[in-house]
Amino acid sequence: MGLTGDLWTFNVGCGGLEAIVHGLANGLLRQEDYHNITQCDSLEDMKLHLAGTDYGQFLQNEATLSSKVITERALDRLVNDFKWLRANAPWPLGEFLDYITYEYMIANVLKLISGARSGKGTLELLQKTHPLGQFEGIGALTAAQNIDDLYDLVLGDSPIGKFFQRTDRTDFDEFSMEYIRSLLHKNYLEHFYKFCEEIGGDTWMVMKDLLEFEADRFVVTLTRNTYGVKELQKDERKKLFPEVGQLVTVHEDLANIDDDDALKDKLRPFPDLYALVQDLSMDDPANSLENKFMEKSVQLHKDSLQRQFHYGSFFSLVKLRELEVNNLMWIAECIIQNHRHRINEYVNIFEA
Amino acid sequence: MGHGERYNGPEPEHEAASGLWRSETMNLVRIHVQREAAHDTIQQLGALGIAQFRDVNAAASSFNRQFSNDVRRCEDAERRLRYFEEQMKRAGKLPECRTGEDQEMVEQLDKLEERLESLEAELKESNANYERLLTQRNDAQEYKEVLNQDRSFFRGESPGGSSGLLDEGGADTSSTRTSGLRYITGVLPEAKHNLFERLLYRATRGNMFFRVNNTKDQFIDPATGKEVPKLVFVVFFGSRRAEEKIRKICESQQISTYPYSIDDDTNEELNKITDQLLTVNRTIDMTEGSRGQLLQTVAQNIYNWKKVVITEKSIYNILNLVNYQGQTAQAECWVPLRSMNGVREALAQAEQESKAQVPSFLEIIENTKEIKPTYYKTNKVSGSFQDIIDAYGMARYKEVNPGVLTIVTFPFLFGIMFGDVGHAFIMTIFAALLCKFEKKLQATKLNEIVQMVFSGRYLLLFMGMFAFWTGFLYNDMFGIMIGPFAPSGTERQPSNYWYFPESIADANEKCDDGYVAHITGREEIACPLKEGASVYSFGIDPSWAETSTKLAFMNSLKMKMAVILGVGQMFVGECLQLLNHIRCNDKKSIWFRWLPEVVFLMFTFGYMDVMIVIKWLTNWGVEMANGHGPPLLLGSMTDFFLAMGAVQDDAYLFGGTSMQTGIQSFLLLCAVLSVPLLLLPIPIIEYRNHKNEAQNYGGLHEDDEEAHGEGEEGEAWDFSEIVIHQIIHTIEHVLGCVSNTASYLRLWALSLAHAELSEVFWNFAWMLGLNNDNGTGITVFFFWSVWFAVTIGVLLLMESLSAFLHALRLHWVEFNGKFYYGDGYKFAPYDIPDLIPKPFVYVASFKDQE
Repeated sequence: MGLTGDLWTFNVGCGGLEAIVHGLANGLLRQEDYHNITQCDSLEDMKLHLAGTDYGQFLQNEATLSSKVITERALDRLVNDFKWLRANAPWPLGEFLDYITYEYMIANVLKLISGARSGKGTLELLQKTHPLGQFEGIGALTAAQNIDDLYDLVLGDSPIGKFFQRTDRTDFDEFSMEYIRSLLHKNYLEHFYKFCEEIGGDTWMVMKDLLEFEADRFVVTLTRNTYGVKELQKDERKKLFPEVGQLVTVHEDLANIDDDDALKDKLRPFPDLYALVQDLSMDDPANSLENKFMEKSVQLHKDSLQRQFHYGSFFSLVKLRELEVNNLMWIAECIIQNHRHRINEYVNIFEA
Repeated sequence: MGHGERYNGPEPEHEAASGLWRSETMNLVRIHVQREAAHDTIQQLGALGIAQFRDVNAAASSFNRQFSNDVRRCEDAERRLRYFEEQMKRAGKLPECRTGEDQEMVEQLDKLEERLESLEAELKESNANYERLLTQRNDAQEYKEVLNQDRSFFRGESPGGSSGLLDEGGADTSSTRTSGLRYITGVLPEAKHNLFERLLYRATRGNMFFRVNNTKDQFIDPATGKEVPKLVFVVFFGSRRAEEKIRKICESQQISTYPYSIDDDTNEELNKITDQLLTVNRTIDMTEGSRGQLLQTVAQNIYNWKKVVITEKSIYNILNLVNYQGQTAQAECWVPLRSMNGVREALAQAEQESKAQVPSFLEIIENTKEIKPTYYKTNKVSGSFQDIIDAYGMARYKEVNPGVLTIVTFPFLFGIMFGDVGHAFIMTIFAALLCKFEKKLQATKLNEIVQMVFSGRYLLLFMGMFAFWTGFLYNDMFGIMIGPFAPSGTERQPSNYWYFPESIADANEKCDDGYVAHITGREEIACPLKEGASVYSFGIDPSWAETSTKLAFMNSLKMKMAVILGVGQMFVGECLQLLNHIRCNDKKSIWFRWLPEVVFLMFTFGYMDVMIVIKWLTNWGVEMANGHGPPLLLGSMTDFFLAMGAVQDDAYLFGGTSMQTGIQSFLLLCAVLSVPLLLLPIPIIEYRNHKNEAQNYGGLHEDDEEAHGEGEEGEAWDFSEIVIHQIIHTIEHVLGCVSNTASYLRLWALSLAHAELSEVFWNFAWMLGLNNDNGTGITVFFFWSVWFAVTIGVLLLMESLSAFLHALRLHWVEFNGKFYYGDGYKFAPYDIPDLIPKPFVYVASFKDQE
């Protein structure tokens, strides 16, 4: 039954919070809401429509509307909801929620470093970081001049320090950045996976699927992105694969692959993954692998929200809400730039 | 039983019971006005608050409407007002809510918009200036703090110590370098102290020396306007590489650094900075002054502006519900019949004011299929009782309003449970004070719980008065029995009806003969006095106090009373149901719903009440002398149900065994027969009606069947649903008669609990102290305090709340359940004054934030 308790005891600590999560999930924009806001001629109309949803009066203090303002306020709403949940979470839910934020912290760290490399001001960079991925002293990252500094200065004390291992690379060239990103993400997934296993119970059952899918997605994407990259030795490539997921058994093979056909061949024993890659073609963006993975993950998150007595619903809510914010940004941008024909390319969370 | 049955007779202008007996007659009115006059017309109607507008363009989406642009303008103005409010809150300014027409309150929205826009721009500019100046001042102050530090601070010496970290060295070219050590000075917010030191430590791998000192001045954060404590710091380190890193860290943490040379004279710099500070401070004062004036103007007007904006926004929202065709606008609204003249006047006035060329007129739409809204014109007294009923469910249009009877029955049932002269007196006085000072209290913002009590003050007053009355019926005061109507000095006066003999001999002498035979050997039993003795004049004879049989007597009395009241109230409920059926001319329901229900209730539990009364009225002294003792009613009722009405063992109550058996058998037979009468006929009638209708219909209009299907019938006709509904209703009623009657026993239980608790508190919290007092009065003081506190806390607050809730339940479930549909919807007129916040509430909203 794990640390979270089960049918009998889960509600003692987390029943209220879980109920709120399910309530918030019910407030996700539905197909008809999307249908309405994609019909809008201006952002003002969009605001009017969103006022009728759970977003309510979130834009009421904005004098002028832009897609940036809409996105920021929508993100604020997500952050506020999340912070509220975090503030009320008992152990170990609190730690679980922290794990959700680590992913954003990693993204922020990399964003700051690469920004600082290209000579942008610290303040400007700090404003661009994701609000869920803030931690104390994050700004000092811009003072780091090489990878050792990075760890010494900030990461060592930060919550994501544990995902960072010393590497033999010391400079911030473009390739090392990608390398660090992959390394951190791999370690993040493995730690999170292990943590969920410790929690056990229904949480483990749900999160196992979600994280394994994330890991497989990461492995396949990484493999595809590193076809023929000379700097990355085959065995190093394998080192970046998280030791989680269905694909663990074929990591050795995947590390040696350099084209799509071989990839398809290797994925053949995994029907659900093979289904995603089988019609792969480089030309059709709407049919890209990224979109297919996205659709699949939306489905998994929705499934997780159908269940009760586990923490996975918190994770799924954050992910779906984040997608929703991205959708709003996309739609707002399309409205402003009058790209009507592309407005429906948002990620469909609830099919018609 | 849907909303289908409609009353088709003439609707009276005024209903009975000051118009509360049934809801107000509603008209669906269509108003035709010239397009230009629409705005004024809506405003006039809104000011009166007598019309509920219907959405004529329900199909149009919210941004496709005529005035959505104007609504947006109003929202923009609201946003500006919110900005002003926020600024006022920050500056600690309160709005001046001047009411009255002399103000510039009749400002047009167009003009107001411009004014708000320019004010907002001015205020924003002034704020930006102010923030910039504050930042300047903070920088100057910080620099000054650095310069003002004692020399020893920068040498790493402890204030009194001798040896410094740095030796006196020769002047160096770099201002931040001495004796081979570099250093950086600056000011940091106190909150970042630990983080900063840690970062420095990490960046230099521990090769640094860091120290801080408190600042003397206060720093105000320009963004929040709050004070921030800051620290002066100095950090020493070795290498140039480290300096670069440290500067980067300072930048990223937004910590300002200042050049400082340990060897140069700081006085000149210091003087310069002091002068600069003076200038900045002067400018800040000026900016603050002009900003203050600006806010003053805002504070004077903001309430009126808010009024205008709220009003205009609501008008445009209503205008969006109106249909426009060419030059005319058509609005549809519900108007109570009694307010029709008001609407006509408002139309005329608006027509005049807007100088419309086309006259406005209204038509009343007869025979509308729409469900009409329910509206009662209550006053402040009847309103609080009506709220109790509305909280259960809004009455169906024109059904009998239980709110009228509730005005009396609710406090009465409360009184039954709370009857105590002393407690009720305190409650009445409290409620009366609330009513007396209601004007004053209405104008202040009350605490949430007090507000709840305050809004129910008339309810509370009535409850207090009725409890006072029942308190006299019980002759109970703070749990002890009083005898205000007994002749003076009257313990066991012969004028009393009851007598408490001390011995058999005593009983033989004074008591009624019939009883004496029955009380062999038992002491302290009450018996009626010999004939001719008078009855205690009001309520329960206080002689019962201090007898061991008091509780038994009270229980029997209160229990029977509770059942009589319960069956009585349920019977009244059934009668109200009859009135509803008569009004709808619903014969089917009268004969097959109301009649069996009443028969079942009255022939069983009604009969039980009759028996109780008969037993009370019988002079058992005489009866017993004739060899006929009182039967146990419990046994009689059990036999009534289980022995088919037969009276067993000659335990008859009236008229002899055979007569009572005959009557009882008849009653029981009727009650049993009423069950199938309730269950069967209505579904059968419905079925036949439907069949006939379908036949007639099929023959007559075969072609437009589809139109009919969509229009009138609406839902599919489902026989099984009707049958199931009727079965449920029947079961509910039959079981309900038993359980609801039993439910009224709560009257007895609560009343008993109240009396017993009061008595216990009196005896143990107060009398105990009184008896043990040794003359100093300390014990008396202490015990009296305890007793008083418990009386207030437990009896007056908790007990009254529980009695209130039980009275509420009896009304909602037992009484309303007998007749009340409660599926209507409330008349919600468009009422402008109601939308505008009250001045004191508005001012209070500024105080809450602090």
